[in-house]
This record gives sequence, structure tokens and C-alpha cells, in this order.
Amino acid sequence: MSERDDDLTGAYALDALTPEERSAFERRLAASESLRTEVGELTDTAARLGLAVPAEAPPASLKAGLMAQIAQTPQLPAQEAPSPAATPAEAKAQARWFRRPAVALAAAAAAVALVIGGGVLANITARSGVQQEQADQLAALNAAADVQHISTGVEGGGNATLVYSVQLATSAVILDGVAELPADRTYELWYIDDAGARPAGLMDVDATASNWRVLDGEFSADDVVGVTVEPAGGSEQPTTDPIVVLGPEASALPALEQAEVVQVAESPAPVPTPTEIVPPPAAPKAPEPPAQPGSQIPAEAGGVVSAQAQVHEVTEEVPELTDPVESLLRPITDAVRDLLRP
Amino acid sequence: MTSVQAPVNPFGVGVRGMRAGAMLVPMPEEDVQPADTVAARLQLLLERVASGDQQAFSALYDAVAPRIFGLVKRLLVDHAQSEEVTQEVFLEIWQTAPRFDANRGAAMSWILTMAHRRAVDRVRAAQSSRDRDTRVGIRDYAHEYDTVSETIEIRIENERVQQAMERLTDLQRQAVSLAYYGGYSHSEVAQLLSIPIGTVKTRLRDGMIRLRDELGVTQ
Repeated sequence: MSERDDDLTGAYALDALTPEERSAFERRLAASESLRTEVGELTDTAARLGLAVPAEAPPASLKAGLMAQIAQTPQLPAQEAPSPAATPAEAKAQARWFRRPAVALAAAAAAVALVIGGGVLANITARSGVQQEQADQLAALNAAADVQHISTGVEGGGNATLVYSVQLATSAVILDGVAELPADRTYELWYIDDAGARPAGLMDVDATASNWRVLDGEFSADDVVGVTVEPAGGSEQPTTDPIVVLGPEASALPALEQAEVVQVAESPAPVPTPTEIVPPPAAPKAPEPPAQPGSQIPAEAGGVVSAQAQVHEVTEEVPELTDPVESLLRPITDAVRDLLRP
Repeated sequence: MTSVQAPVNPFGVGVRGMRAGAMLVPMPEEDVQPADTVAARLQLLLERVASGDQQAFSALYDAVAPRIFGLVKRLLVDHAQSEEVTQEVFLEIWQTAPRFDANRGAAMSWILTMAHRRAVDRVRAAQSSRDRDTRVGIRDYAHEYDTVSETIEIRIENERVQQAMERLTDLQRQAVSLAYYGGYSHSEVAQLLSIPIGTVKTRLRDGMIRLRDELGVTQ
């Protein structure tokens, strides 16, 4: 390490380097513990300069928009994942905070680009009852204890992300930078299992934004999700090859090895979060315990099912899940609602 | 010649493991909490955000948004752009929180570092140097850090930073202020102060090391 290299610690901590100088310096940082220590101290010193600046409250609309955005924005996995390019700010944070700084400098966040690069999230700006329902579903999905994300490139350009929860039997697809289609064509989503493809909804795409849709129908762990181009109005069965296929099973398919499964909600936090209060998911089709009063009533009534018992049966399909999740999500859904209000 | 004083150090910046320095001033409730408590709370919130807790994100936003917005606006001046950058900063906090490692520094420092970097990137991308020269004259920067603050916590920190700044040489102080509060690159600073770029690098490093010692920032 030459004297000249050391000279840049101050400029780096103050963000006074050009992007090229920055990258070069970060490579040196990765190789020198003592340099990292000095940069860490000087970065903290710079933060003290920041703390001395008078605070100013941003407008309330900023928070409302953010809460809606994070509800549908995947988080990075705690461990390093190979991805194309870090944001500059993240790269600087990685230089110090991330657990594997040497690798982290070149590492990245497709998910960051997904939203920040996309700018406006197209579906959020739409104002309709359907969009409201979709936004609520997506918020619930993102808050599920077992939510996972899979991202991969799309044939013809762009990226696709599948967000899914086996517990909620729900999934959503986010398409970012994917080509817009002519008016007589539409993207159609499919649940695909051994039995074939089930239509799961249509999706219009704004190429300048991130686009998302919660899929119709129920997601199960055996499903993969495919996206095809279909005639306007959609098809009963796919008429073209999928531009992308995503799912927990997709990694078993040779053509889809690049899809990377990212476990988001697995980290055991030291403090229980509201989501952890939710009991672990029972298998979706698991038989109910015999002691459940609701399920006992029909048998005892000799096939005559009371309306009350039916209600019990329906609610017990997702036992004790609805209320905690809903209460957890209320601030989010309210924020989304505020945002969607014309 | 370097007197390391006990820092007030709000948010525990520069202190590992949330052990802040000695408190000089008793803090009123609500408005200002002891640095230990604030730093610990921020770290806890960030850990919860890392596990996808949106309520924790909401609380974290409430705790730090005015500081982020204040800092970003100091650099960008423009209100709308400051909002955009603040939004970007918080999205990045949300997305990268799982990778925050408290053993490497305080949560507030992590957040302010991201905010400053994004503001600097935006100011350089968005405005020509001519605009920026018009925006803030260089003369303003010599005492840019000396600003009236609205909370006791910021006022104390401001005073401490100002005292530390006064220990710098004029050239160190100008260079550091232009870089941090103006978002100027070291070559721009060299131009503005009409000194060689190598001298600027040295001034920035020497100035920051002096500030570090004066403020008692340690790893």
C-alpha cells in the first residue's frame, strides 16, 4: 500500500471521489484491513457532520408511497448472492458493513435495480377496485412468514421475479423491463404442474416500470409459474412457448438452472416479530385434528350441515392466520389505500 | 495537542456495540433520548426490518426520515429532488437491511452514509457545475456547518462539530465542507480553492483524521 493510496481515505469517506476512483479505491480497500479501519472511522466522522445538519420533516406523502412500495419490494438475502451490479451507495456500505467485503464490492442487487431502476411501479398508479384488492394481496404475500422470491432473466430482455408463499397458497409475478406488446397481444400467467397449465390471469406491461400481478387461483409447492404471449383476451391453454418459467420446482428443470431461490423470511430474528407469532404452516391439505368442533358438527349431524358449521370449516382452512396477518398489515394496506384514493 | 473529549454522539455513531460516550447534557424525555437508547433502538428496528417487518420499517422511518431529508436537502437544495433521493435511500434501507452488520458500525452511520452517497451522486448527475456554482457560492461553505438548529440534540452535535471544525486549518476546513456539505469531488474542490489535487487529497484526509480525534470517533 503506497502513501498515495492512503491519501484517499478522507476523500472516499466524504464521497469526493469520481465513480472510477471510487471503484479503484474499493478494490484496494478489500485487500487492506488497516485501510478499512481508517475508512470506517472517517466514514463515522463524516456521519457526525451529517448529524449536525438541521433536520427537516419530509411530506407525509413520501412515507405513504414508501410503505406501499416496500410492501411489494423484495429484500436482499442476508448472505451474498451473485448478481450483476451493486448500487454505488450499497457498494460503499458493503465495503464496511457486509460480511464478505472482498466479494461484496462487486456484488449486487437485482432487486434494487428492479424497483429503483423501474422508478414508478405501474400497477400502484392504477386506481381501481381490482388494483386495490391486488395491492392488499401483495402486501399479505410479502408479509407471509414463508414468503420467498425467485428472480431470473426473461427471454427477449428484462427480469421476472416470482414472489410466493405456500402457506398462503398465493404467488405474484413482477416483470421489470419486459417488452410492451401490441394491442392484440397480452401476457398470460400460468400455474403449471404435472397435470398441465392452469390460466392464472392476464398482465399488461409498461416497459418503463416494474409491473406486478397477484396470480388468480391457488399456488402449491408443486407448481411452477410460466408467462406466455397470447392473443388479447387470453387463452384457455398456452399457444406459445413461455418467455420465462419460475417456481420452487423450476430448479429441477435443466433449462432453468439460472433461477435462484432466495429465502427471505428464514432468518431467526433475536426478537419475535409479529409474523413469528403465526404458527408454522400446516400442510395445506392436512386433515384437521379430530378435536376441532367445527369439523365434528357435520359428522354428528348425520350429513346435515348447519350454516354455522360451514362457516367454521371455511375459516379453518387457514387457522389463526387471518387475524394476526391482517392486523400486522393494517398500516400497510391503509397506506396503499391512501395512495390509491383518487 | 489533540484533546479527545467525551462525545455527546447522538445515535452512537462511531461506537461499536452501542456503547456511547459520556452524556454531557441530561436529555428531556421524548424529544431527545440518551444516545445509548437511541442507538440501541435504531439497531433493533433495523434488525426487525431485516426480517421483513414493515411496522419496524415504519418506526425506523419516523425516527430518521427528518435527518435523512435534512441532509439530502442540504446538498440538493431542490425540494422535489430531495424527496426522490430520500425515497431511494429508504428503499435501499429496506432492501439491504438483511446485510447490515452491527459489529461494523452504528445503524445511523450506515444510514447517513447511504444517504450522503446518493445525494452526492444525484447532485453530480443532475446539475452542471455552473448551476452548482450559482446554487451556492463558495464563500458560504467556510461556515456552512454553523447553522441554527431546531432541536437540542442537533444543536449540541452542531456545536461539537463546529468546535472540532475550528481545530482544522482554514484549508482543511474549506475542503472538508465543500466535499461533505457541497457534494463537490476532490478535483472540483481543487479548482474552487485553486490548489493542486494532491494537496486536496491530503487536506481531506488530514482534516478528517483531525475531526475524528476531536470528536472521539473510534472503531
